[in-house]
Amino acid sequence: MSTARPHADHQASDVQDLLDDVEQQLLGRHEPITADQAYGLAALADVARDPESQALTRMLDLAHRVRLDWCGEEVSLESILSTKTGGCPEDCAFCSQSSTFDTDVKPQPFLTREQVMQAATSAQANGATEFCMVLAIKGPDDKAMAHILDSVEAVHDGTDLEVAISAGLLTADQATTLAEAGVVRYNHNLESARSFFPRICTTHDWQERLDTCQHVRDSGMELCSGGILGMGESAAQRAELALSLAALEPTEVPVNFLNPRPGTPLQQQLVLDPRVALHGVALFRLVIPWAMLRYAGGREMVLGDLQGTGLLGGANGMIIGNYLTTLGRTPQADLQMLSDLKVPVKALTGLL
Amino acid sequence: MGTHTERFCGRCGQPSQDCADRCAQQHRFDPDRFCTVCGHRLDVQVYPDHVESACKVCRVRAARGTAAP
Repeated sequence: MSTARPHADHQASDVQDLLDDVEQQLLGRHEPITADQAYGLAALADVARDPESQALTRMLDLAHRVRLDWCGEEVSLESILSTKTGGCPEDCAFCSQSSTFDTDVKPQPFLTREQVMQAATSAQANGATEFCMVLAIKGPDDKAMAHILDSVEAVHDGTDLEVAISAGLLTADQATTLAEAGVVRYNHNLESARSFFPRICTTHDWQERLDTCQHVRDSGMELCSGGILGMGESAAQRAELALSLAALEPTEVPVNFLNPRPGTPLQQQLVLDPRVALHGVALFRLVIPWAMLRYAGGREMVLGDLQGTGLLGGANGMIIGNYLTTLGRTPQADLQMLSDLKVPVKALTGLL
Repeated sequence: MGTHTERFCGRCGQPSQDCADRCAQQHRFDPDRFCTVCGHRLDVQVYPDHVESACKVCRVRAARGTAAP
């Protein structure tokens, strides 16, 4: 009689062994996992699609326990505002704000100080504790830098929000200037694995993005860097991205899910399977256990009714309200979801 | 002040009788980007809790507290 295990049992046993090892590493020894473990977890993406498989459930459960252990219970809420929309000279394939593509987003001038103030005040009233101002530019010239500094001052004057900026590639001097102006965090996503990036952008390269992230770290600002899942990358490339991010030791990792935009090269890309998207959230948590893992763009479209699952599967931050050029849910709907999940919100008073 | 007749789909800019409910579903995560009076592309600014738009051709402005469901 054969002593070999049936194939399905062997696979389930391998998955459990891997998750047990990862749990021991993260919760037992309180140390980050290895690259081999990361790629092993990434390989579970195919299994995760199968609703009969327990792999995703187990991975989400572990990711949630890791999040609680490494980061605590609270979820952070952030609002974002496009203060300079459209007309970007870069050709990032996912972006409707690129001037290279024929999209429906019409370029707009810089917002005024008053417009920024009003948006920030409303964001705080709706429960956000962080406010990220985003500019669709390659990097700030003198005019953009003056706008940024004025906007930062306006938000500081009128609210208690922590200010973050996303304004493209930075020099070391520019990073220092922003840090000295009181910008708490600078966002510059790596967007994808280094190996996948040439398929996404030709007007700058991945190393330039990495360099900006390093300038941010060197300036003393916190680094916010993440990526977009569902652009056609492989599961292994998601692990590659997560490992690259982990090496940067970011404070915050936004996880976007591609919303295929009309007129962009990725307009025909199929929307990511929600179970694979959740696998990606759990993967990022397990590779970058200390970071605030923030649900970012595409959450509503890709996850739909499964949004809450990710908040119990590794995510501990959200963008609330609308995005840069697209619509999100009302802040009240998201606050209700958090209340229903009994997830405490950072520095929230009187809204729940 | 006269009222404006809405003849165009705010989501795709086409005559409104041509797109019916298809655009509402297809563009459910987008603000209106076309003027419903004249069909031209709007200047649109998305804020965290509302959207403001303006048509430079027919001068119609709108502010909506919209968000996807």
